[in-house]
Amino acid sequence: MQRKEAVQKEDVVQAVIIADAYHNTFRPVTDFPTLMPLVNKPLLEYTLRCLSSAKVDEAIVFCTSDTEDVKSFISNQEWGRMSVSVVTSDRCGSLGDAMRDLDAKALIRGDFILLSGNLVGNLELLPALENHKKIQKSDKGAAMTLIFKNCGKKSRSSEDELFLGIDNKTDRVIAFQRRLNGGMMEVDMEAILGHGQVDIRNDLLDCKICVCSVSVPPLFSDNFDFQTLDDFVHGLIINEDILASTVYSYILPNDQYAAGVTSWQNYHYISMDIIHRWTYPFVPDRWEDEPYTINRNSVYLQNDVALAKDCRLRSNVVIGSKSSIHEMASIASSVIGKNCSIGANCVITNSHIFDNVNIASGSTLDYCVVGNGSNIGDGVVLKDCIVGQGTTLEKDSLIEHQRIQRSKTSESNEPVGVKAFTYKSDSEDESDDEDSEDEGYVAPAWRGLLVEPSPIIEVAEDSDSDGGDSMRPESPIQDDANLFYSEVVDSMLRGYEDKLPCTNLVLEINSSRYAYNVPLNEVNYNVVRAILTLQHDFSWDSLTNRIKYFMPLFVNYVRNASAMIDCLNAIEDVAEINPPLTSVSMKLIHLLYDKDVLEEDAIMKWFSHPRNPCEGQSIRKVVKPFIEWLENTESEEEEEED
Amino acid sequence: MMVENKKDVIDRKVTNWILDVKEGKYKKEDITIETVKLVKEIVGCDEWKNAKELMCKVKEVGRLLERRVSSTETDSSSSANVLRRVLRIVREEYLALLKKEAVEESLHKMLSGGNQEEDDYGTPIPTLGAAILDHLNELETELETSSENIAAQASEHIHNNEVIMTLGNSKILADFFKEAAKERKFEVLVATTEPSTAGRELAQVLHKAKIQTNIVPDSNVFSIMSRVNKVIMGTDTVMANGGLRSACGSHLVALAAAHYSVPVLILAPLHQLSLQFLCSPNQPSFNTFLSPQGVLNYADGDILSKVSIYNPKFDYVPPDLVTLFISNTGGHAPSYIYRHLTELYHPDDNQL
Repeated sequence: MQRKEAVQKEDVVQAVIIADAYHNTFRPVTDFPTLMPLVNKPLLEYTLRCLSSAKVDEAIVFCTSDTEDVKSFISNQEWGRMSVSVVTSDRCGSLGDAMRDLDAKALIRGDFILLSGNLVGNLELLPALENHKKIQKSDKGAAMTLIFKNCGKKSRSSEDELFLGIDNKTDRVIAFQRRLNGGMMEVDMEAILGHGQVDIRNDLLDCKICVCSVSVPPLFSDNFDFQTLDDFVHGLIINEDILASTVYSYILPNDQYAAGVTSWQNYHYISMDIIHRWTYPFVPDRWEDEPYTINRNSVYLQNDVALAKDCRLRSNVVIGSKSSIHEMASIASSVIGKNCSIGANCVITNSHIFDNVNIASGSTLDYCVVGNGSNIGDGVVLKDCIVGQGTTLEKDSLIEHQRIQRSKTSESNEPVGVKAFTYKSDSEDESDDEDSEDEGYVAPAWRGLLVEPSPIIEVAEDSDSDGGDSMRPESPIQDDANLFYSEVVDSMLRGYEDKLPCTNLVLEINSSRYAYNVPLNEVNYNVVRAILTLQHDFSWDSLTNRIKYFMPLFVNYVRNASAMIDCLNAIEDVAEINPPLTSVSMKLIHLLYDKDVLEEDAIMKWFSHPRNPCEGQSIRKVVKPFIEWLENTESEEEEEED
Repeated sequence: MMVENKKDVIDRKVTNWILDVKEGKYKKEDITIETVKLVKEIVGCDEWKNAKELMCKVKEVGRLLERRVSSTETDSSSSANVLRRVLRIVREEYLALLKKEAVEESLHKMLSGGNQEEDDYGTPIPTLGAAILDHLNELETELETSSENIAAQASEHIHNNEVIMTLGNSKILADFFKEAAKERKFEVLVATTEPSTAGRELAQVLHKAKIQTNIVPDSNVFSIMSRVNKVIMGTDTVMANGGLRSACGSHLVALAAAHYSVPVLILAPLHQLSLQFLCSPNQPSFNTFLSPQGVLNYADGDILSKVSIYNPKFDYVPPDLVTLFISNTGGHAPSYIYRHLTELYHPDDNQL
C-alpha cells in the first residue's frame, strides 16, 4: 500500500488509449472495433473500467474517426475518479502517427500507459508503473515496459504467437519476434553475449499494453518509419546503440489478466476467457447496469430472455435481454445479443450473434460472427463465416470460410444472396501500396474465428546451401518475399515497356531486396519467376524476346551453381502453374544453356534431384530428350578427350 | 442557494464514499463504522425536513451500495444491515419524540394517534436530529467494541489443552484466539482454505502470537476431526434461519464436525445478521463465483478450454450444523436468530 501511494503522490497516472485500430480486420462487421461488442459490452468499456479500477487518474482517448460515437459513449457513463478526455486528429493513419501527434500536442507529463481501445483485463497498473520507475533508476534509456501474461502452452491464434528473448536478471527484452522464419528464431548473437543469461520464451501472451517513458513520443517523432508498436520495439532492439533506448518486460502476477482483441480468433478466445471469469470482476453477472444471472455450466442470462422449454443451452452461453430461443435449439460456447430470435432446431456453436439478429429455424452456425440486424433464413449452414451488418441470407444457403456483407462494394464481390455478397480485404489487393511501407508491418490475418492448429514446421537441414528447399510452392510464401516479388514484377514491367537499360533494373531490384531483407537464393528465384510470368504470354516468340532483353539480369543474378538450381526451380514452378510453358521448357533450358546462363552440371543435378519426388514429373518428361542429348555430348567429349 | 449547495456536498460525499468502498480504502472490519459515520454526516447536515426524508436518503445509500459495490469487494451485507439498524433507530426516536410531544400537546392527539405503527413519519420534529445522533453514537461504540466484546468471551469457550479446528481468516477470529491464549494453553489446527489460502495467513498471525498452530490441508479435515475438541470459525453473514454464508470449505468442516459430534462455534457480531434466506442453491444473490485463478492457473494452457472451473467464494452451512453463535452480546443458539432479527430491524426496512 505504501509503495502504491508513493507512486500516486509523485504525479498523476496517465493512460493513452489509441481508439482506432488502423486495420480492417473486423470488416465487414465493423469499421471501428473499439465500440464493437464483446460478450455484449463495447470493448472500450472493458478498457476504461479496467483503467478506472487500476487507479489511473487521467485517460486520454485518441480518436481519428467516429469521434462523436466515442464522445457520446464516454459521456453517458460514469468512470469513477478517472477523468476521461477525447483527443481527435483526423490525419493519423497509424499508431505511430498518433504518437507523433501526441508529441506535438504535448499532452504527456510523465511516464504513461499506452494501450489500444481493445484491452480486456483486471490487471493492476501501479505495480507495473512502479517497476518501470525502478528500472529507469538503473537504466536511463529505459523507454518502455511491455506487459505480458504467462499463458503456458496454449493453442492460440497466429497473431498472438510470440517469441521473446528476455535477460534473466534485468528483464530486458533482447529479441522480439512475432512468427518464426522457416521454423527458426533469429537472435542477434552479439546481443545475447552481452548478457549473463537470456531466457527464450514462447509461453507469454502480449497483453497489448505497456508503460512508456516520456521519451517515447519524441522517439516516434524522430523515427518516421515507426508505424506500429511492433516497429517501435523492433527498432529499439535493433538500433539500441543509435537510439540509446531499451525495452523491458513485466510479467503479470498469476491473479491478473489482460489481453487485447486484435483479430476474430482472439476475439473468440477472449470471449471465452470472460465467460470463464478470468477477467473477474469484469464478468457479465457483475455489470452495474443490466447485470446477468449466472447459471450452471457458465450460462449467463439477462432479463426477459424467452427460453423454449426444450431448448438446450449447453455451456458457456451468454444471452442478452429480450432474446428468444425456440424449441429444440441448441447453443454452446456462443454469445447472443439483445432482441435476437433463434429459431427452432437451430444449432449454434462457437459463434457470436450481435443485437437484433433473426435466425430462422433449422440453421446451423459454427465459428461464425453475425453482425447487427442480420436475417438468416431457414436451414442455412454457415461455417467459419463473418456476416456483416444487415445482411440477409436466403434459406438453405451453405457457405463456408467467407466474409459476407450486405452490398456490393467492388467488382470482386460475388453475390451469395439478394442482399449478401462476399467481401474481400482491400489490403489483399493493394498490398504493395499500404503494407510495403515498412517491413515490420504484418498484414492482418484475413481469417474467421476458426483457428487451425499451427502446422509443425520442419527445419530444413541445410537451408543455406540448398536454397530451393525453403521456397516450395506449397508452403505459404513469406509476406516479405511476396511483397518483394510484386515489386520486382512492377519494376520489370515498367523497364520492359519503357525499354530502360537492364543495369537500372538491377539497381532497383537490389534496393528492394535490401528493403525486404530477402535472401539471395530467393532473389534469384523471384527474378527468374518474374521474367517468365511477365505479361502472362508463354508463346516461344515473346519468351525469347524477353529473355534476350533481360539477358543482363540473368548474367547478373545466375552466377553460380546454386543460383542455377534456383533458376531451374523457378522454371519448374512456373511451368507447373502455366502448362503452356511446359511445352517450351526444353527449348527454354536449351536456350539458356546455349547462352551460358545454365551449366551442364547444374541442369543434371536439378534433373536427378527433384525437390519433391511426386512433383515436377511433367516438366522432367519434356526435358528428358535434352538431358539425354547432354549426356551423349558429355560422353562424346570424354571419348574425344580419351 | 445555500440549501442546494449543502445537498450537493452530501451527494458528493456519498459518491466519494462509495468509490472509497469500491477501491477497498477501508478495512473489512471498519466498513460498518464508516457506514455509521457517513449516516451521521447525512443526519447532521439538516438537509431533511422530517424522518421520512431522512429514511429515504439512507435507503438510497443502501441501494447505491448494493448496485455499485457488490458483496465480494467488501462485506457489503453488513453495511446494509447497519443501514437497516439506523433506519430502526430513526423510527424509534421519531415515535418516542412524537409520543412525548403528543402528551404535552393534547390528550386527544394521543388518543387518536394510538396506532403508532401506521404513522407516515412525516411530522417535522426539531429535536429529532440530535436524538438520532446520540443514538447513532451508541451504535458506533457498539460496532467499535464488538470485536473486543466477542474476544472477551474467549476464555469461557476455550479451555486448557483443547484442540481447536478453524478455517478462513478474519480479525475477530485472530483476536479471539489471542485473547484466549492470555489465560489458556491450547492448540489450533487451521485448515488451509484453498484456493484463497486465507488459512495460511491466519496461521502466520497466530504463530506470531505464540499460539501453537498447525496447518491442515482441506482434504485432511475429516481424518483429523476425531482429535478436535471444538470448531471455531468466523462467518461472512448469518442468514435469517441461522445458517451461514461463510468461506468456501466451511460446510466440509461443519459436516465433519457433525459426524464426530464436535461442537461448532461461530463468531458473529450482530451486524452480520442478515434478513436473507437461502431459497435455492442457484440463488444468484447468494454466492459469487471468482476468477478460476487458484483452482487452475492460466498458465496451465490448453486444459482450460476443455474443463469448466468454478471458484465459489462462499459455502452455505445449514443451521443444524451450527451449535452456538457467539455475538457481542453473548452466546445464542441458531434457533434464536429470528428473535434478534425482530429486535434489530424494522419489518418495513427489509427491502432497502
